[in-house]
Amino acid sequence: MKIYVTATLRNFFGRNPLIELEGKSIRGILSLLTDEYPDGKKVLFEDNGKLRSFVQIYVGDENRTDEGEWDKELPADAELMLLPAVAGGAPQESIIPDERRKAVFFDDAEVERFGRQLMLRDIGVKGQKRIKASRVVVAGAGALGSPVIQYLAAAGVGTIKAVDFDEVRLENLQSQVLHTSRDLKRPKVASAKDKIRNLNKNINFEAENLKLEADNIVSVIDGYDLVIDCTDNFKARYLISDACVLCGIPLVFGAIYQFEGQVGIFNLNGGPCFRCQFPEPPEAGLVPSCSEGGAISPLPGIIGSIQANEALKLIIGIGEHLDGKLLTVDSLYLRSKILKVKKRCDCPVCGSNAQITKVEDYDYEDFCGLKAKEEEVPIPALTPEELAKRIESGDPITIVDVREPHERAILRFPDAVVIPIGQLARRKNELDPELDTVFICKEGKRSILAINTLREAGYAGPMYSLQGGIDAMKDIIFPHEGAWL
Amino acid sequence: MRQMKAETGITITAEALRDMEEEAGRAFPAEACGVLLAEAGERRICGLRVLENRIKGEEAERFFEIDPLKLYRAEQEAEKGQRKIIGFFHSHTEAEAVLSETDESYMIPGMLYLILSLKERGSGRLRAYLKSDPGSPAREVPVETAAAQI
Repeated sequence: MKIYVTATLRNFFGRNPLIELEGKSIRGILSLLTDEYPDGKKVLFEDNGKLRSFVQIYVGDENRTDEGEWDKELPADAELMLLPAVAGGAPQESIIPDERRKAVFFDDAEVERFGRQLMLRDIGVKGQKRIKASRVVVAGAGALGSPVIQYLAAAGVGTIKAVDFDEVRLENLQSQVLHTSRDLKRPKVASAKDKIRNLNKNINFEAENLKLEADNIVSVIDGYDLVIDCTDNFKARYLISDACVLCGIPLVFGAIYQFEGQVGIFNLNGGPCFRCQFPEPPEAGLVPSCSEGGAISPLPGIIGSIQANEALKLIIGIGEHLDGKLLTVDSLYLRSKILKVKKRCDCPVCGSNAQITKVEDYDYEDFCGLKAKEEEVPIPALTPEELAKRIESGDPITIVDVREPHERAILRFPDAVVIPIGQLARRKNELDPELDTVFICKEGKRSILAINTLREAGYAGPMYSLQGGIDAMKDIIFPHEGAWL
Repeated sequence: MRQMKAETGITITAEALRDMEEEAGRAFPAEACGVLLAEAGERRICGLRVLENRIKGEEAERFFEIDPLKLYRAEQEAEKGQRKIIGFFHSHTEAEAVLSETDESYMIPGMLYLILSLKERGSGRLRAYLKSDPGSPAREVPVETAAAQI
């Protein structure tokens, strides 16, 4: 029987266009052919014996590629043809599947509302439909969440779920531009919902007044296209990233601190995750969160806007984005750079040998050092009321303020000894081990660090941390003292 | 068929490139496709043969497929004209000129795959890829445009 070999594969068959072999069925002929041409076997078949996708078998005009045809007896005068299948497709660049985009329509008002985006060649009707079809979770409705939620809604994202457990406080208004003084003491997500309803009532806005935990996160994010991390602490970041990896949802990460911010995209098409870049959190208390470390007002606006822009690019499927990269922005000296993030093959959640397969089974508190370790002696603490009572009764105690000078300038603690954390070990002899020593800071985290530092340095006197820091105490004694600026 | 060498790039004549761009524009929003031809013994793309994308409708905006029998005929004609098929081209209407997973899974070892993106401008719109062995991954091959023939 004659076998025609396409010119595109002929190199693997001794450059013969026509090969003659005795055989009665396709399977028989293929077996003889590959025995004679071992190179040809490699090109026709995969290692598991399956015919490669680019090979097509014809007998005359009939396609006989399907293996069900291979054992039928062929007429003696039949000519077998090995032809190439030439096919392909464009990469799917948007995270929104085409079927969902096609199911979306616009009314006249929407065409007018989104005109500025529709006229962009790279967005157009298709891109705007993808935006409307998209479903996005925003974790955190605070500083970063404010611009992210507002810009996603303004751009036309069809479904936005905002998750936050907090209430609006006066100190939030400096940077959380989604909330106003009318919203004080309201849940942040309720405030967000009102603003978005005013902006565009057609947006499906889901307000989740909830703290993300290992036992609820999967049900919160499952079925959504994208998660945007606008939280302010490491426990939430690891939890969100791990859950995104396990649910197969890409993540736009953002973080701010004082004058600097970071943005990155993790877990996109099997790319690196947050843990690949940050395998371990910093020691608890070492890196203050925004509420303790502060941030300049427009910084979350800058970083959150970049997060929203990255999210829209992923949804539309355009441009270059921060997949596997980390953008750092220094707003004080106006410098930015992009770092590459490598996927770690030993990553415990996205690596080849992942140990974390369910977030419920992982102890995030412990991982982030938020749990008192069993072998450690617990840190004794005084509540603000207890401390106030001891000060009033005139008990001889030492109060050590470990805050920075600029923090003390905002609120002075009367009769406190000032020793910055870095100097504690060196200056431990200034403390009287016969007296109770109370350490105070802004939120009650650095005071614990201070006590641990002194314990390590061998100080044996009784030490207490002020629970909740000066923030928790200021309503108790300071209004009378006039210590505010 | 001569095996492509990865170290050296591939040249395409200005006429062949212009034909490819015209065809991609004509087929838009569907993907255009066809074969790349070279004179016997040369590795410069001197011509194209446009073939029909047998995928129809909206699917054709992201996928292409050439009827194997039509390829067979194109192959016969090329050989009659002392030319050889050294690879294939297709257009990406909305995506960049990079190989998709589907593209790579259908790559015939030793054949050049040229992708023209209608989304990009400048030299990045045209990229060529090659897989030398069935088991090895595809890699990019530099493409140069030859000066127009007078």
